[in-house]
Amino acid sequence: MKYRRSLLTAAFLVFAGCVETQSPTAPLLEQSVFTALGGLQVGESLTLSGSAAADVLLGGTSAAGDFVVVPFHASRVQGIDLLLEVAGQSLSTSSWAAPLTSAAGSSLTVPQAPSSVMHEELHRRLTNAVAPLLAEYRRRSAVAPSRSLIPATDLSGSNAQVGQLVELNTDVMGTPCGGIDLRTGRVEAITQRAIVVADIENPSGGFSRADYEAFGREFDDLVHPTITAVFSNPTDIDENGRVVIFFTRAVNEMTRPQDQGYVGGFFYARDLFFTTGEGSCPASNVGEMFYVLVPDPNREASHIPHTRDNVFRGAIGTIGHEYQHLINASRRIYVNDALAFEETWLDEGLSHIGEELLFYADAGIPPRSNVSAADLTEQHIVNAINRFGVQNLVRYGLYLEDVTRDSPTDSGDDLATRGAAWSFLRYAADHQEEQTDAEFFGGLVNSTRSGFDNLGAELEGTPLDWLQRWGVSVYTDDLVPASGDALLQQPSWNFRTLLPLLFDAFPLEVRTLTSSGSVQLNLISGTSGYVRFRSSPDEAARVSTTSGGTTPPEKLRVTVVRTG
Amino acid sequence: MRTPGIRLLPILLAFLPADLAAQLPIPLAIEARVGIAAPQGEFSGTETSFGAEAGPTLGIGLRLDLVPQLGIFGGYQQTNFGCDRCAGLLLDDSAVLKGLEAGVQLSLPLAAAGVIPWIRGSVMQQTLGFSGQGETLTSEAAIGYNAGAGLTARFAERFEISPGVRFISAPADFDFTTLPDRHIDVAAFAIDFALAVRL
Repeated sequence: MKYRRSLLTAAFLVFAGCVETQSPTAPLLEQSVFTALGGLQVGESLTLSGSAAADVLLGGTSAAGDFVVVPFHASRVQGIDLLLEVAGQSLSTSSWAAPLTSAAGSSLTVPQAPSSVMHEELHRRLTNAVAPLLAEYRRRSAVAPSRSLIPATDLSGSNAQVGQLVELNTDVMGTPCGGIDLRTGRVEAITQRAIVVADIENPSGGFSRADYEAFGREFDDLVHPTITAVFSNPTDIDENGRVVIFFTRAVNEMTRPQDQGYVGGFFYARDLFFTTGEGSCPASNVGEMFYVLVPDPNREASHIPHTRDNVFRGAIGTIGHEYQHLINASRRIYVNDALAFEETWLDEGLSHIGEELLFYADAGIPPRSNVSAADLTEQHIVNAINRFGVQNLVRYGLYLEDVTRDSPTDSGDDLATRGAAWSFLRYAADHQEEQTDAEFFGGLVNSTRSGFDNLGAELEGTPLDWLQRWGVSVYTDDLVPASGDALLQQPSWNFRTLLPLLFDAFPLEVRTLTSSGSVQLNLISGTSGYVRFRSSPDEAARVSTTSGGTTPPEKLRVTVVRTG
Repeated sequence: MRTPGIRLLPILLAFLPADLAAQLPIPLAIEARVGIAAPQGEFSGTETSFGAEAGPTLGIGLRLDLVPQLGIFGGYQQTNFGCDRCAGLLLDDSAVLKGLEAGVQLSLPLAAAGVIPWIRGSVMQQTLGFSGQGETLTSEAAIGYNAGAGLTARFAERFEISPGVRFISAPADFDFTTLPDRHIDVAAFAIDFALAVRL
């Protein structure tokens, strides 16, 4: 019976030797198996980094598949480009459907002029100029923290009276605390939250007192509750419980003869410092205020005419935008005890969010409503977009036109960056599961941090992770099924239907990859590129990415989405 | 890596005293099985999988007949499904389902002319694996099942032949490190032929 034991032993050896467990495998083998098992379904994505992103296998099913490759330059360091070459094998040569174009008779009004260009240059210049003031104030107040002197001004406390004349410093060219350009204004309206002042030298054809009263009422009823509900209340250093809105030709006069655009209004943090005491600023108007463009149909103040109706329509949006700047800066100085003002890209992005919040309030719809061209059958939505939304849409469209050259977090100022920053912040807010808009945006305003660090403290995951996800959604939103990965969607806006109403078509810069050629991309930090391709039936497509002819660096992340 | 416990078993058995092995009180048989398995359902489709094709199946194991009509068995089985598309994906042309099984066989009291019908069912701990590029990638080990029926004919003193059919069902979960996880239900009908030696 000895053979019996031998057989038993042999049998156990045979099947014991066949037990295996998993061990780490090469990324390409994973892709091969993943693709063998069906690969990406429509609306699914995968993300690879660095060398793992060098080769991607896709398709191979019995039906052709549409894909987009979205490389992302995951770096905060500005001024460094990432050069990429993307090539494909076994790709389909079938043509793509023509992009959606604008329908005739768009109900959206293209803005009169690119007013934001100068505004944002001005804002950055003023913020940079006043930044040392905050540092000095913080240094001195740390030694002697009292805010001792609160000098009475004509508009402080309950001093303001309708019809009263006041002098306000409108200088923006000189040093923040030394430049003086006094203008005389008349108090035209006092409402619960606003003191509306008009420059007595304003051009002819301007606003009436009834118009100013209307601004005051709309500030009370729309702007103040909407903006402060999300960003918090501003300070009240002049103890009047109100914000001063100064309609002055000084704003119009900032437009130089060679300028094509104009400034719609501005806020200057200089006015938040006291004229005496610690960290004093003698040129300050000492109060929460901003400056707004006035009608000038006869071009008395600049070479660009501004009709009463155009300025009337646009002023409230401008005021909402400036109100965020005011809240942000004043709370950093006196409430949050920050060491620095917010970085320009984030400060501007938040102010554009402020404009968007006014749109929702005016239209009577909440965020995450996926506003589309189909909604423009309702006149109140059209009106609200034309008042508070079109500027954001245009800026975002400009970003899409040259998407690899602008990032939401650029330190440089241009319209595209602002449009991207707005859309990015909205995307991030819309995907917060445990934070409301007020908690998220309010958290960004009520912070001692700035820029990336500020954003990083409010987000789960790094800002670069969110920039990457947002970059993918720029292409996939309202293209892939909404029932799939929620992060592929931008819940508040359907840009694919809205932007063709303002541009010739959806303006995103997309490259198409075929087997016969390659695509070169040059990504600045924090940007994504877009390369689409189609796989052939029953044949796996292979997409290779190199940088400088070698394996891509770790700061490259490649997301691939199956879109059809 | 291998499972240490499984490795120890044959070693311990090798050192079992011959007398003790000979005195095992229950009839014991060693069984080898070969056949062909045809994939079914999702597993054979081309949209959600590689479109598995029919391939050889084999197994080896032990059966203990607790009573004349009831036995338990355990062993190793492997099926190599074909994969035409795998070559285009830098993979070998087969996907291998393999692992251990343990089950029960019931012989039906319908013996006629020396042929005994039986039914059997087993649970399996299986993996589905793909090879290529010098490596193998397998799914997480998962529990599946076999259900089958067949006939056994005995000849000589110790030998049995058993043609049969089986249905194989096993889930396969791939937890990729850089890609979305994937699940596929492996299902196949198999026709096979077993040769058993009663010890």
